[in-house]
Amino acid sequence: MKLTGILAGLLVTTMMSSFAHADAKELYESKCAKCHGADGDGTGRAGKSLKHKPTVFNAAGDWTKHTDEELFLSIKKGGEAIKLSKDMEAYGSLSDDEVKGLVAYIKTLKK
Amino acid sequence: MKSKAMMLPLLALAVQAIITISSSTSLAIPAFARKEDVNCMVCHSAVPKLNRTGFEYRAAGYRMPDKIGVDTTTKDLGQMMSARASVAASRTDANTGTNGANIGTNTFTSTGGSIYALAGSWGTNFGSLVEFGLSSKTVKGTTGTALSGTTYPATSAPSISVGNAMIRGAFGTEEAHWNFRAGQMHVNEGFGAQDSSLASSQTITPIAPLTGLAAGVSNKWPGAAKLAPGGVPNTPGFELGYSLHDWEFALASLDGLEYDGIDQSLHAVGNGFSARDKTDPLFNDRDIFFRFNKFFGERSSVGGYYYQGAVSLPTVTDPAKTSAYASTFTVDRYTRTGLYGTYGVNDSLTLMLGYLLGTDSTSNVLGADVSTSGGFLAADLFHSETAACGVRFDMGNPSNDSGYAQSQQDIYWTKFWKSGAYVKIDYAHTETGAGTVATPNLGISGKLTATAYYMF
Repeated sequence: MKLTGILAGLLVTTMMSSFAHADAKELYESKCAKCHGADGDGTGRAGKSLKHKPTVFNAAGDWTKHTDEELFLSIKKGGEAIKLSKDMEAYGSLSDDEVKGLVAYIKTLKK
Repeated sequence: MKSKAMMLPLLALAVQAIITISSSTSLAIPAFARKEDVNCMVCHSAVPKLNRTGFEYRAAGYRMPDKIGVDTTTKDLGQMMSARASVAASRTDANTGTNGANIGTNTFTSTGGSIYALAGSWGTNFGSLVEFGLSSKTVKGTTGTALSGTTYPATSAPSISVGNAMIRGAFGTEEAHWNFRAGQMHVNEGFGAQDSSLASSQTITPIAPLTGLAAGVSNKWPGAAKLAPGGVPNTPGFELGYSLHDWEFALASLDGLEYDGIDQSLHAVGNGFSARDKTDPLFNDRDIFFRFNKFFGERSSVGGYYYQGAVSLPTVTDPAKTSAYASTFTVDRYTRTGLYGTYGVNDSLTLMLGYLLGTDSTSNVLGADVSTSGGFLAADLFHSETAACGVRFDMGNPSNDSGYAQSQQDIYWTKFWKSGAYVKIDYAHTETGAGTVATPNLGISGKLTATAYYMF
């Protein structure tokens, strides 16, 4: 009975996290991919002419030097909040959970 | 609810704008940034100048080119509305030399705005933009005379104009697509040097002097600017374009301009709403416009246009200004050609040049045919993501008469804030050679202009 409970708990947790991942992926595709590219390669159509090129997420770029908290801030308050480009828009309307989900998803793009 | 909340300030601005209001040139339109959920700098190298993405976004019918064929309709019409309010102050010091005791200083402010409706893409292939420009100028102080020798009026009546009212469409792929525009439009949609200057003053454009008009009609440059076509007008018409990788072509058939005897100026046929008057000898005529642009990377291009038009001009004046249509006409057949080069040295510095040529012919009715020309060199320095400064040097001869050759040096600075505020400060120094016909030396002038905008 105890084992069943643990397994059920694990299953629910797994389902929840995979749902969150899918949700974050969808959010990434609607909000971030337009500049950072669907695969995080930094070649999104909207970012093409920006003076400061969008951060590349799918390579071991220097974005990895930023902590999760900094990534969170750059999404929530814009690139300026962590002294990156002002071209990175603030997405203050996203909830903290959504932003955390995005940070987690972005980290999966690193190849 | 959100949409209603957005509409209230827009309506408030509309009411205020109709009371105060001003002139309109296309500027950044926040509705596009809101709809795309991106920063304005995605489309602007410095507001209001478009970068390549902005240029291609516009050509694709106000959608990212990779969204051609994708349904982008929004149910929130508030997302397709924007407005802009502006206030400007300027000071002009003019020395008109031999033209009498005409050393003057003038200051004035003008307020104005634009309302943008149905701005953005819809369906899988279409887009639209309606722009109402509202203008009014109020003189705050006059201590001299204007360049033309006419004292500024105390006030001028508010006016409403339609800058753009068009539908766009794009069909194909991001790499190769056909596009069209139909309606009232600003036809010369260029990039870099071919785009509007960041300065308040614009480049010297060909203006026909139209010497020979009857007495009482302002017929000498710059007074003739009211009567002669300068540059390329806003006018109703249809344009078909094609974009292929780095190339962009457009060919348009346009209603053109007509003369209004009441305000004694040229404007779009029927103010963009109706056809030419049947008494107009150009009733069935169409103007033709061709434009091209070739990109080299993101920041460099060469481009140009050719405009062939005709406008009926009065051969007698109507001092009472009671009739919109003159009783006797002659036709000015004119061409305007522009060639432009833009070189992005790096992410921060862009060099630009342009050459403009105009010809006007009235079959000797209003004097000999004329060729007018002008050229400019300019440099824009984008010293931060949201600010730019620049210099521009213009030379031109807008008349057959060498006495009207003009040169202008311009220095300017602009700054944009994400809140929607935007300022530009500009100083233009203009020199015009001594004339040899009825209007003499136009002398030297310096004009400092500061303009503040708020867009939402």
